[in-house]
Amino acid sequence: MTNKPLNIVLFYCANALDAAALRKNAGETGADDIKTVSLPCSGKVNLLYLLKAVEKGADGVVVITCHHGDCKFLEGNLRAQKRVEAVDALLFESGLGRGHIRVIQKNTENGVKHIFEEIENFKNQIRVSSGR
Amino acid sequence: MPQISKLETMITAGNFIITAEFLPLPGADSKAAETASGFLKDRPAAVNVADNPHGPILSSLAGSVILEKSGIEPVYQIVTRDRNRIALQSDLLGAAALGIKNVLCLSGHHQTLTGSRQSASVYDIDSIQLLAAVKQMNDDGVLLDGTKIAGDFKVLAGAVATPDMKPLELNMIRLTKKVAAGARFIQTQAVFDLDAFAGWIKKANQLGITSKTAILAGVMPLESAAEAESLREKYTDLVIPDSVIDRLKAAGDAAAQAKEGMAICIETIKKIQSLDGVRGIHILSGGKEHRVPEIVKAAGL
Amino acid sequence: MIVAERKSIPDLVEILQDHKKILVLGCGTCVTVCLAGGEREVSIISSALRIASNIHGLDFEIEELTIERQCDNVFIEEATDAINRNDAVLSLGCGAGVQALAERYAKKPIYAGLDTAFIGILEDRGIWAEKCAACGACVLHQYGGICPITRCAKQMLNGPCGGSREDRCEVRPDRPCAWQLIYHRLKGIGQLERLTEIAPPKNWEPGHGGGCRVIVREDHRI
Repeated sequence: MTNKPLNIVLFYCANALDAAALRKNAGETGADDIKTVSLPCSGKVNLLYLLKAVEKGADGVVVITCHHGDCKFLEGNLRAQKRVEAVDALLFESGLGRGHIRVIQKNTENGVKHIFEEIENFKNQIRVSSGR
Repeated sequence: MPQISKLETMITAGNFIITAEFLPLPGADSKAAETASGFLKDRPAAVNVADNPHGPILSSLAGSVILEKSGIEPVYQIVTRDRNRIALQSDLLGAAALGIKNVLCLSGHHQTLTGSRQSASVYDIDSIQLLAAVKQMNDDGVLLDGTKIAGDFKVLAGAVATPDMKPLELNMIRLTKKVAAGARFIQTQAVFDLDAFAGWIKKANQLGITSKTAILAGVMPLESAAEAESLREKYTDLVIPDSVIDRLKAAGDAAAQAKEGMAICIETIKKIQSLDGVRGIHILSGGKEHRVPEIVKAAGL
Repeated sequence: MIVAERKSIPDLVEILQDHKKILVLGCGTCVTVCLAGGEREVSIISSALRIASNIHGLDFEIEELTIERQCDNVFIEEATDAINRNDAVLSLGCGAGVQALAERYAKKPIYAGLDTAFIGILEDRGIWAEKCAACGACVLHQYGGICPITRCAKQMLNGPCGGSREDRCEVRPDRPCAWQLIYHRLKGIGQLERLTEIAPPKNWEPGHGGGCRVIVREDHRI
């Protein structure tokens, strides 16, 4: 592994996370470039946002949703999951392989900390799969 | 005038009729057909030759001719799945010219349920329209396009029924139409649910259908519980109750299950024989022609 | 509407690999409604093709455009400049749209990006189902408004096949048997007697059986 910095785009539901805390944590992840995009609900995310992130150079894309059952709009987080699966399939068809996109569901007990642990896992997985 | 078939003679005379099924192989060796026909020689009045039920095999017309030459009266099965009305009528004329006297008109397993699932769908006419076409050829001596048939044409037409198909009213509409379209005999799908069959034949009696056509109840010896489960999973026209599968499982090993399958078949025949309106038994061998003599003997047919 | 589905990205890459400047052209009519070839799908497929181009080193330059209706010359006109400045067109229209483009731009390769599937309706969110086989001689009045030609796998006209089940078709376990639907519908509207008559063989000539079809309306040809 070369430890080349990764470009990661985080789409997050503004109801699930405090933007300031997320940005602070995003800034503390070393050399990797983490961009955050706030959404009024994770269900607002569509296939094109996610694909564009990859097309413009993201090594990985994360959609952070509320815990299942906690969506303010009832099923936005379920839609986000389905769309992420559709984009994962499209990226596979495009030759990039699977696993460059995932959903991280907010854990009700230790919110942001859990999310960033999961992001670290995701980054390591991308490093392994892409040989970086 | 063409000769009347043995099957037709028996239908007219009111005899109890046994028919069986012959499933040709995917091969061009007529010896194999002759060997299978050896098991079918003694008792059945006539033997059906299946028309590519699971994909391409030796044609049912050729198979019928081979049986005829071996001294067995064939029932030439024709499905509407693969041939349009031109080919169907042409094959009927050809069959009659080769001495075939009985035909069974059916739609056939859909091509996606065979090994050739990429085949084009034909289904130009349906089974009832095929029966009506045969009737027109028989009665009026003309083809569907009005062309007069040169010389004589006479075949006995039959059809199939699925006693388990619900609702019963719809089932009877279909059966009535088949008889009206010219089905002189009806061979049913294999019967495993005796109560359902009894209800079906009772209704056919009430509607007067059984006095207009000869109903031959289908029976099939099951080899094992696994075979039964796979058959009912794939073909929805084959309804095998859980009780039958449980009985096969309880029998034990492969040999015991095959024996139990045979016992179930014999019991079914005996129970069916006593029902009003049943004119005979059709033994669906499913390619196991060697079991037919055993069934005939054990059931005392 | 006409219902279609996109081809896979590997199939599209294989079709387009010899071209550089590619116009992905959407259609704003049926394929927009069935979420296969409208403006949004043009963007999604274009983005996926750019990602694929990058990974496979293909150097695609993709332009995106969607016109109102690809099967109509008046609307095709709007795409002329974009078509002229690209090497090839990947049409996300139905088969009619692709051919309308190909007939108009004799020297431009026009490729189908969709598999056109059937004439159907949106049955439920994300589920489109076939309803019409365009047989050219409608029989719906005889069958309570349920088409046995389209919806019965064996296009039986005189009742169900033996594989019919009250809750499913033998051929498509995920679909109801059309004949069960026809029976209940005719019974419900008091027309069950329609099923007791034997329907004669259908004339397939007005359908595809008569060759490629054309309708001429003399009153519109002045």
